[in-house]
Amino acid sequence: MPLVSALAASHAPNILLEPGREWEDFMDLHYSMAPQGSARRPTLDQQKKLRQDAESAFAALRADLEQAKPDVLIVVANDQFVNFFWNNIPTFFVTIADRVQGQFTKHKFDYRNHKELGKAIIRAGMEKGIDFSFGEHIELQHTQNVPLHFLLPQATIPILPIYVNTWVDPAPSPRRCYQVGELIREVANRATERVAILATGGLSHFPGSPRIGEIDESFDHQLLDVMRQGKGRSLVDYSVEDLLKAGDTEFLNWMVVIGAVGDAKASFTAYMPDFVATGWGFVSWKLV
Amino acid sequence: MSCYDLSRLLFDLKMNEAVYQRASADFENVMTGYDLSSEEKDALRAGDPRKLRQLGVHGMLCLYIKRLNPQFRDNIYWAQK
Amino acid sequence: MAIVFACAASHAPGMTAWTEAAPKEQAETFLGSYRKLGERLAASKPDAIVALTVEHWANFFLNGMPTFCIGRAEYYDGPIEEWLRIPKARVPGDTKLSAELIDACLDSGFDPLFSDELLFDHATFLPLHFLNPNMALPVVPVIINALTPPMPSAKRCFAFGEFIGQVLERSEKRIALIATGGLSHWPGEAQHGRINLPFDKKFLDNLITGDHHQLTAYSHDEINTEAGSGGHEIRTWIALAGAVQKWKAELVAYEPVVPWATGCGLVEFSH
Repeated sequence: MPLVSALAASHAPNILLEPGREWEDFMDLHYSMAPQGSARRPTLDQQKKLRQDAESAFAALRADLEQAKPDVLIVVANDQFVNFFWNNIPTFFVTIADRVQGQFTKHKFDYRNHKELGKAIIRAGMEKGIDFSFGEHIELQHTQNVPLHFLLPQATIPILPIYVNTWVDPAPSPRRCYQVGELIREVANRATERVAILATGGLSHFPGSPRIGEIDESFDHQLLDVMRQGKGRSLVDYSVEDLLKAGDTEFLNWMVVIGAVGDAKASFTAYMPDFVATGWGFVSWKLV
Repeated sequence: MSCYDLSRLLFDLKMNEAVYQRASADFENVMTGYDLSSEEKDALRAGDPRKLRQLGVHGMLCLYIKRLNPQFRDNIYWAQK
Repeated sequence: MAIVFACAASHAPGMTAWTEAAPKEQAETFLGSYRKLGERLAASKPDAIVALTVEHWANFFLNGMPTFCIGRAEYYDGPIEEWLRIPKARVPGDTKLSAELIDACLDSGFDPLFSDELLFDHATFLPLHFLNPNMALPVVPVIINALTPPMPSAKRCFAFGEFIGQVLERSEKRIALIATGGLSHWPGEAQHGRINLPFDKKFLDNLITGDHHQLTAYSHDEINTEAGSGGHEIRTWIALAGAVQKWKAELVAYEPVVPWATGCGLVEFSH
């Protein structure tokens, strides 16, 4: 089957944190790196509004996902020092576990992992010359859990976590991530299952940096515009440094999905800067 | 990377509950288990993520030192990964 | 500068841990050749050793397996095996050369995992004991997964080696490139102790005649059946053949040492 649905969504923890104390905690911690970053600190009402807007965007994505009736959802995300430390930094990693689990505050996550599809992707990579690392156990973290909470709240289908190193220098190039996406599309084409894919992360944000609180909105809008035009291929010429400058290295996860959709135009986009740290972006490509 | 052990300690503070518990009780003792320069130890004692960042630690790991700060001990951040 | 020395060598732990279990003459011939290879490595005056190597659960477990891993540590401690009868040592790394290799890979269609903390087991430490006896030269380990499937194909290993060779040829440093592992052996298996002489001979023949077509045609299943679970390590030799394609390979020694349970080979490349 060809890919039936492609999605991309931010995974900022505050999307799933409760407005009020949980948001305040989150901001207190992040602004300890750069107190000046808190200049635009959102009020409780603004927090609630952002949550509502994110829920609306996720509802649109979820409707597209459900309409596509997928048998499996590939989740392309980055690790943030949960599964991988400097003794073991995979560039691209495919999960071949039986189950994958994780927790985010009071929310628990527990999915079957589609390891057969994972192995098919690894094997296809070996044929084509993409060198995936792999493993039989991972712990889900906010980079997967935040979007999954809204998009796949019931574990009705298995998922397949794939990791891209967006987090530790040196990261793979946007071009290479695009090629990984092309490979996934080829594997999906040959698979009997209906495959959906989700990229998480971004958009512009500077976590753990003195630039926390800055959001490069114009860069983000430019990216979304390119996706609406179906010209994602043109983004392969960005360098990791370009993305780093805009606080968008997690866009490398998105580049995998952009490679998977090729020249398809995004059918839905939404964007909201959260005034805390991150430009929240949401995209759907209807493929069937 | 040049600050491997420093980064490792910060990583363990969030990801390894036993290390966190021991560090809460006796941080000096926990520090002896890592190969740290006196400058790195001072930055850890200061508990200031900005100082750790100046030593080359990844920004997100720098924030983990706050877990030992009484004001941040119950922060929701530690309830998610 | 460039690659100034290249060799492939087996690393059966019995070579040091139970040397005397082997027939005296066989052990002396093989280990004598191994030491002489080390002397020629030293004579090439390298600045660093790049080791195409494997590892045996010393660093990686099933939760995080690389296809290719490039070490980027400041030093590597080893050996992890107390019983190897090789003194423990801290081998210096070369983080600059490591970073050059990793960057070059990421720019050119290879996707290595990288690691800033690796321990050396006998796979790397035993060859270093003979080839770098003072443990003085800095080492960059380049690990190929020969431990648990899926493992990279012979063809991909050759291509990876070819690329690593190109990067090293452009390096400012004088590099000794070594490959370690193999040949046929069945560690931890019912057939432990078996050595497949015809397989080893044919493989060495392919290497020495520079038959790259044959070298890249080995399949996982063929290696598994004919050369055993340990035979998968010939991937490092195949990568080396890719790295120094125009060099001439010469058989330095081959001994099927039954008490070491391994077809033990030494091959030197020269140009």
